[in-house]
Amino acid sequence: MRIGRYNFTKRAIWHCCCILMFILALVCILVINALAHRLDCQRTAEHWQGESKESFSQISCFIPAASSVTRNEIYGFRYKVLDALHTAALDADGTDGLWVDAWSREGKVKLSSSRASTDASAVAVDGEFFTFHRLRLLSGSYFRESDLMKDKVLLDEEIAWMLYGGTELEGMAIQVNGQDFLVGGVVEREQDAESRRAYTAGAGVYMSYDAYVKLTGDDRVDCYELVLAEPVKGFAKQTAESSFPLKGGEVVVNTGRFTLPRLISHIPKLGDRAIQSNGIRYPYWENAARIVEDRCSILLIVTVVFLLLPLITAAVFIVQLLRYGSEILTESVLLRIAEDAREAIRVRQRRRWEKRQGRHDA
Amino acid sequence: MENSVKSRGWVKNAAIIFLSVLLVLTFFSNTIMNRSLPEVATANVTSDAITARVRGTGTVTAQASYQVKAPTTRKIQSVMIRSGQEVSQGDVLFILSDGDSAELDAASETLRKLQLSYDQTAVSLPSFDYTADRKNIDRAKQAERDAQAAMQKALDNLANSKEGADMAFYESELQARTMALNKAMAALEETKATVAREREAAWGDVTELNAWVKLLQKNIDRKSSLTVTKKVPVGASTVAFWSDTSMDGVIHLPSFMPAANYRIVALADMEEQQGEGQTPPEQPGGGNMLLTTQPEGTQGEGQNPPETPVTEPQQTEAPQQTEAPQQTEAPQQTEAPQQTEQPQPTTEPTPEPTTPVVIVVVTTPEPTATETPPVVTIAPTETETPTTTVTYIQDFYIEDKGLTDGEKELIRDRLDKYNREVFNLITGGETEIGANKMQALENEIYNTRQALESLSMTDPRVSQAEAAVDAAQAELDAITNLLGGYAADYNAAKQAYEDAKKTRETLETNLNNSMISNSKSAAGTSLTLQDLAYQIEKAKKDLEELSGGEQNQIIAPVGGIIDAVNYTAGSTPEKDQILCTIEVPDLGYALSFSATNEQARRLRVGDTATVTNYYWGSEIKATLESIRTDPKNPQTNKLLNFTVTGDVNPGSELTLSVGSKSQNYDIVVPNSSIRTDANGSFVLAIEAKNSPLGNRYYATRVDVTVLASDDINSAVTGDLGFGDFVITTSSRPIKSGDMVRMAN
Repeated sequence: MRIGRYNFTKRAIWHCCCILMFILALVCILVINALAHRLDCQRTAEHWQGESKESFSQISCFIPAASSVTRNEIYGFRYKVLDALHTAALDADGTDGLWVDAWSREGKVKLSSSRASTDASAVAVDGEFFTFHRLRLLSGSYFRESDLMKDKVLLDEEIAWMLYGGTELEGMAIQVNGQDFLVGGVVEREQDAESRRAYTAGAGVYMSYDAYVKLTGDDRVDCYELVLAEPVKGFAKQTAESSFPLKGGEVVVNTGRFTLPRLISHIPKLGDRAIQSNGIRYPYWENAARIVEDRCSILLIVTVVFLLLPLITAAVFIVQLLRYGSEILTESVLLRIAEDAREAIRVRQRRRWEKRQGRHDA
Repeated sequence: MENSVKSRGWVKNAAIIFLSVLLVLTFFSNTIMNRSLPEVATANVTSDAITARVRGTGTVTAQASYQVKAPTTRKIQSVMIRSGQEVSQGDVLFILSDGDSAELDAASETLRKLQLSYDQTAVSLPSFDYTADRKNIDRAKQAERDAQAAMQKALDNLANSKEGADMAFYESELQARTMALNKAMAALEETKATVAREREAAWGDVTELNAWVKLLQKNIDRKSSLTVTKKVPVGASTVAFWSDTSMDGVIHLPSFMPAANYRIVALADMEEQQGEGQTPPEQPGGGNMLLTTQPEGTQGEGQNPPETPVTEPQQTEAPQQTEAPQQTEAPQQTEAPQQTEQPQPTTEPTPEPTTPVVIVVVTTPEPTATETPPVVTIAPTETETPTTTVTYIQDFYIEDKGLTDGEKELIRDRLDKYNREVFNLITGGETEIGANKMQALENEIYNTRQALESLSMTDPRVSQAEAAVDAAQAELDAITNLLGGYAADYNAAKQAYEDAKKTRETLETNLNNSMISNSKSAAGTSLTLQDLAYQIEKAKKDLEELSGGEQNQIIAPVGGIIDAVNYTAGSTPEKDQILCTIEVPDLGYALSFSATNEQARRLRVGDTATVTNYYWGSEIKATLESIRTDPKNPQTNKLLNFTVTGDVNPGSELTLSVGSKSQNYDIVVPNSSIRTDANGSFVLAIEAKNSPLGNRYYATRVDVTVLASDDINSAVTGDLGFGDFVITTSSRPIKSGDMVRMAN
């Protein structure tokens, strides 16, 4: 009797552990899923696709700091993209909507308002940058490549507070490096933990790349982002790798970055992330994506570990079932079912007999 | 029984708790749901104007400015102005230090040098004296008058001596005879010249002889080739030359060719030979060839050439000298022989040759030909072919050279001998050819040349012309003699008069030329003096300006605002250096900045700009005055030039915002509400739905087309109406169909 109780307790603890670990594994999977959908800038292809039947892929090209890719080279690449679309026969109805791109460079500027002045980090952007980085507008609007004037800037909350003490600043004058600009709006920076951790530049401003080049004379693109229609898998990446002037840079496919196969393939590289010899200074959104990528990979490992014990237990249970299942089935389950069936038949026959003999209780 | 009571109590408590939670959730369901929805900010669709504005910053400058320059190189003692200071006309700008300036010294030195130069030029001005020339002219006039009187006197004497004579007739006769004499003398000179030219042409023939010598020399050097000549067909013994006459059409064999032994087998025209080739054809045996053999025909042996006194040329008066003229020209037969002559040893007159010499080959007669007439008709037989052709010499310019018969004979004999030698050489008659033989040939040529040179100008044409001169002279003498000595006196007096007249005219011409030349020289000197005088006056003025008034102050020429002061006290600006610039505000101010071509295309001249960075003072008005190509970026940019009026100072930096005429649109939404994806531009409109718990708001996609945009709004077309709400921003990404929560 004591031995039986001990066995029962041990088995119950074991089963509870399995259930707990299974639950933890499910939680990890849910967290991975949440992380994978946290960074909006990594899902531009999905946003851009909208209700279109065409599939798209998002590509990021990062250029080493020692190299210089100018606007003219970007314009040249745009022509090559059009050629690639033409070669793929995708431009029958025009190329509008088949691709969108943006490029940026980080730097430092001095901002002045009628109230105060401060140094700030600047992200010089061109193309449809805010299609890729849909920062929440607190006021105003984004500026676009097609704007007539290139003198609008977007302030983040911090710089808006420092210079003006508010966020409704659309249309107000501001000086950048002594030149007059116009406040186009105020944006809220990404609120996810990874982006906040990756962004270390402090108060910042987004301004036109043209205006930045005029101010500083520095025409070097750091990051180029592209969303391109993908008639076949890998078309966008192949186009970027073959035609973009990388100059030792790196091409990253953002679309599907946090899917299971990509995470599994990323696991062996976890240690190698610490070694970086390509001279690339990644923008904060890429660093945030890498943080998420690492976290998801680690969570995937933990998930596998958590699933290990329940799966083994389930496997043992299944083997036991297979081994003893037929005996129990014939000696216990089927026999009982047969007896029950016979008893039910006998009772039913007796009721019918009593009914015919008038002995029914009704 | 107790157990059943406990069980009902637990169920009751659970039901109460469940219902309580359900009630709470029901009451706060709207709030809880709203908390989970993304919050959106919206804006109304309006009807408004879209005005694209172009902004730029530039520096205000005055439309006109005045540069104050240093009048002299002098030290600045003090500066009375500062940048930005407003000055009036006449205000003192700079005070200069005392002392002469470098320019003053230089101007004084320049003036001194100019005056010295003027004096030197004036002193060296030449004076012209024509007294001596005029006296000479007077004397010449006097001599002319005297000569004229003498001539008249001689004429009178002549008239007196020949009373009744027609002096006019004599005069005309005398003149005519004189002219005839002059004409005859001219004809004589011309004849002499013609003969000389012809003689020069004759030397060309001598040149041809020399060419032959040269050719012979080659054959001498090639004795082996000469043996080839022995292989002439049977009976071939010699060649000959003769003259064909148009008179009788016969060929006359030379005297050394027994006519009985030869007959003509072919003819060859020299002109044709000249036309076909300039040099004799090459022999198969290698000789340079006077002979060309033909393989066909029979070979004759032992035919002796005609007798040829080989040594005869040496026995003549040929000089022993070796410098016989050697001509280097090749024997090019550039001229067809003009004349031919049969070298007749007899005294019979030779028919006048009229056709070129023709060289033919003759062969010994066939055995069947018993006789060959000494004179044969030119009729080559068709059956027989020529075996050998020879280029030969001719001599026969002599006929037209006006030589005497003896001279012709001399030349003919010499050439005849020469031809014999040639003949022997060609035919192999002489197998032993030595240097002496060649020398003999050259001697012959030399002699011929000497003979030609010795020919006197005894050409009958010359003699005839000389005779004509003599006759004209005789006629003139006859007239002169007819008039006697008075005529000679008259002629002498007339000649003296003519000479005196010519002398007088020459003197007058020389005087005129001298006066013209001197007047030009005087005019040039005068101009130099005038220029010097002008320079002196100018130097004086400069000197007066530099030192005049001893102005130690530089005053403002115009009123305005000092823009820049370029020198400080103590510095010494050089003359004409800009000391300061005064902005003259009377003409207004200007401002310009660069804009892209796309921006400039939106603007029109006359558009009014607003100043966006200048909030104080009175109103400033800026008007777009012109749009020009930006010289710094001519491909991409334009320069927008504004006129600025109002309370503004030069140097101020203004930011202008200028926009074209605005246009009203029915549907205007904020720029922040317009989104773009692969399907085009769209806005997310708010759609409200009623529910028992209140209104629910959904984001609905509305596709739009952007018509125009400015800094804030965009005009669009789409399924929107005035007053609709569109989402401008949201707390989280939203898509069409999502339920949202309104911010307010």
